[in-house]
Amino acid sequence: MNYPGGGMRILLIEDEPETAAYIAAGLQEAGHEVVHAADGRGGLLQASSESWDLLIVDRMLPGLDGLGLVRVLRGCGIAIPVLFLTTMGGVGDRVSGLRAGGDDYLVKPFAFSELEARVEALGRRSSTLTTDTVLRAGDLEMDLLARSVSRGGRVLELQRQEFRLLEYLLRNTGQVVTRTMLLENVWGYHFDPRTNVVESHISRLREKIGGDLVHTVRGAGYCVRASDTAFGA
Amino acid sequence: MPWRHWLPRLARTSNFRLVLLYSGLFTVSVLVLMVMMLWWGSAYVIQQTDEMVSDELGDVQAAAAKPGAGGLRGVIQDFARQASVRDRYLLEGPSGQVLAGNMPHIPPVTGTMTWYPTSSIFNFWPLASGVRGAGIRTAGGDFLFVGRSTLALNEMRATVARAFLSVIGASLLLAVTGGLVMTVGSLRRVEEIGRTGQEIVATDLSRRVAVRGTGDEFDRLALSLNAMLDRIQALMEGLNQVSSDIAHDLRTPLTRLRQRLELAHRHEGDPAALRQALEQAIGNVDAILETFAALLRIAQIESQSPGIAFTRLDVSALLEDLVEFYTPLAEEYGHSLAGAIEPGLFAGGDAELLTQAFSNLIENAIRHGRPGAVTMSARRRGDAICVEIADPGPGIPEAFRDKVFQRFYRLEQSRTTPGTGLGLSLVAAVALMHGADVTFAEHGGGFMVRVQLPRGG
Ligand SMILES: Nc1ncnc2c1ncn2[C@@H]1O[C@H](COP(=O)(O)OP(=O)(O)O)[C@@H](O)[C@H]1O
Ligand SMILES: [Mg+2]
Repeated sequence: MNYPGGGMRILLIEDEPETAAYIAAGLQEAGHEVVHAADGRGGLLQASSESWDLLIVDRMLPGLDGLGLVRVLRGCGIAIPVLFLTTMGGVGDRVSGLRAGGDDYLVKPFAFSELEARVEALGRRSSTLTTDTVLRAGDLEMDLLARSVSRGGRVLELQRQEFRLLEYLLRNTGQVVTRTMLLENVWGYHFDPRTNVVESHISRLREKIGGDLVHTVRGAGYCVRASDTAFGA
Repeated sequence: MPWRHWLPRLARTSNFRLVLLYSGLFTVSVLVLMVMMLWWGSAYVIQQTDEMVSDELGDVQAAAAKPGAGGLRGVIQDFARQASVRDRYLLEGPSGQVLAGNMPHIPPVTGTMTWYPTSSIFNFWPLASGVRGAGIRTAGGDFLFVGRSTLALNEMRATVARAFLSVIGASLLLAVTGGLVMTVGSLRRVEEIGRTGQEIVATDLSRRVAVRGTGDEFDRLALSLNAMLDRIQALMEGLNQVSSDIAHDLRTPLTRLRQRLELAHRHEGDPAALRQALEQAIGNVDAILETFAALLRIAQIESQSPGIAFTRLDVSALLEDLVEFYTPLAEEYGHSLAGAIEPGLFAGGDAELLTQAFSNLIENAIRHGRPGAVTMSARRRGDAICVEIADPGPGIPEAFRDKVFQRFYRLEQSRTTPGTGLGLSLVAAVALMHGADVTFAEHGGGFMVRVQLPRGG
């Protein structure tokens, strides 16, 4: 498709009209094209008959539930990225969702910035899967093979978790990554710590690599942006 | 209690039916035994009689063969004269006329037989008296019969039968009265328990079934009923507590939210103030949602059957990662965080839930402890993995150590630190699910939480 650059073509399969309208409006504002299906069967039909950049699928749907829908899609060899929406408190929901073929999941209710960040991340994943062994942002260089980081030629000593954190941020350069995305992807934690432990990791990282690379996006998360680098360079 | 009232209920108790059933079985088996004894006893006596009779027959013939004995007729007359009450002798002529002996005419049948004076169906009655003997035809065509009255046999039969019947009678009487007494006793206990149950249903849950202290099955039943009632009462009270706590705990943020929104409403004209008020309102709602999510999660953990999502976990690695994860935060709070974790500790469990539980404990040490050294240690201890999270204090006073596991419970000193009071509730739920034990202890002037997690898996 034509992403990045333009918006994505997103199929939203969600039965609650209010939630659907909220999500569709927000994503359209962000420049995406959103088509809404209100039940499982209709959603499956549309998902398989047209081409999409992303599916957002509610777990609980009338007709055919979200898990079943995605299982059928995957069974037909359709590999469109899928973001599951689940309701609060489902302890085993994430595992079953991923097992059915989902790529990411989000618990309702969520902040819109969280949904947006995940949609962007999934959309990018399908178009620009980087196989580079060196990640760069401005004069910062991360060598994934040598597992070394340097800035302006000066070698930086990073600990294991700091390295993984920076690697994830760099892989998503120019994109907003949320606290929960960091928790899930850097540490593999699927719970919400009651403290700002992620923030303290970020400020530690800033102390080591300099404070001008990792930016805080208010109410959303973090974003790596080098002042002298263009998007997607 | 009047018998008219008791008897029909008695007859319906399983206890009494059991007594009747056993009595019936006992009677039948004793009767079978009696018949067998009569059968074998009679057979024995008859055999003895037959042997004696055949000896006697030999004696008679031998005596008759002696010279000058007066022939068979004289011998029989002799024998009959000297006979005891039970001995019978008979000599009949070829045409059936009685020649000598102490018996009337009988049909001249040779071989062993039993003869009854009156021919009737009553001859089959075991006590019918007859004569058991053996007859032969002599060379002269006469019929010679020697026999014994069956009186002795009948006496033996009567004695055996009498003995057995009195045993049956006595034991039936004993069984039925004993059964009645026992049944009345247990019926009384059961009715008592039933009455208490109805009272509990009707009035208050704090009543308990009486325990007599005899340790019998009713006491054990009463004890387990009481334990069940304790649990139900605790659950009910917990439920009450939780719902009023939730109501209470949500009232504060909801009130705050309402104030914010009202303020926003008043500042409609000022975009900056409006924006700020809305942001704060969203923050309030997020906090409320977070509380709900935590409550739901705890409820879900509590309702999950243990072991369903368990896998074999490298607990050492899990804890090491957590220590590394929390080190920057600890330092921000002025602590140092160190791990002393024995490698290679494995347990069966749910990685996600265990991680969250231990993370809650580390966060508690960091947020509720004075600045200083926080350590997380883990080692093998028998069949368990012993994980200890120690902080420099002030800790949780003895009196509150049970309470902090309740939902929303927070110590007075913690009211100002952020938190929901649900952290330890989740720890308790996860621990219960894993069969783990959570205890608190003093520790070198500081405080320590100890989790003992069963090893293996
Ligand atoms: N390590 C500790 N030291 C002192 N007090 C503690 C510690 N852990 C827990 N507490 C007390 O127990 C209360 C309940 O803890 P918890 O359920 O985790 O809720 P929260 O941490 O959100 O307040 C806390 O508010 C605090 O008063
Ligand atoms: Mg739904």
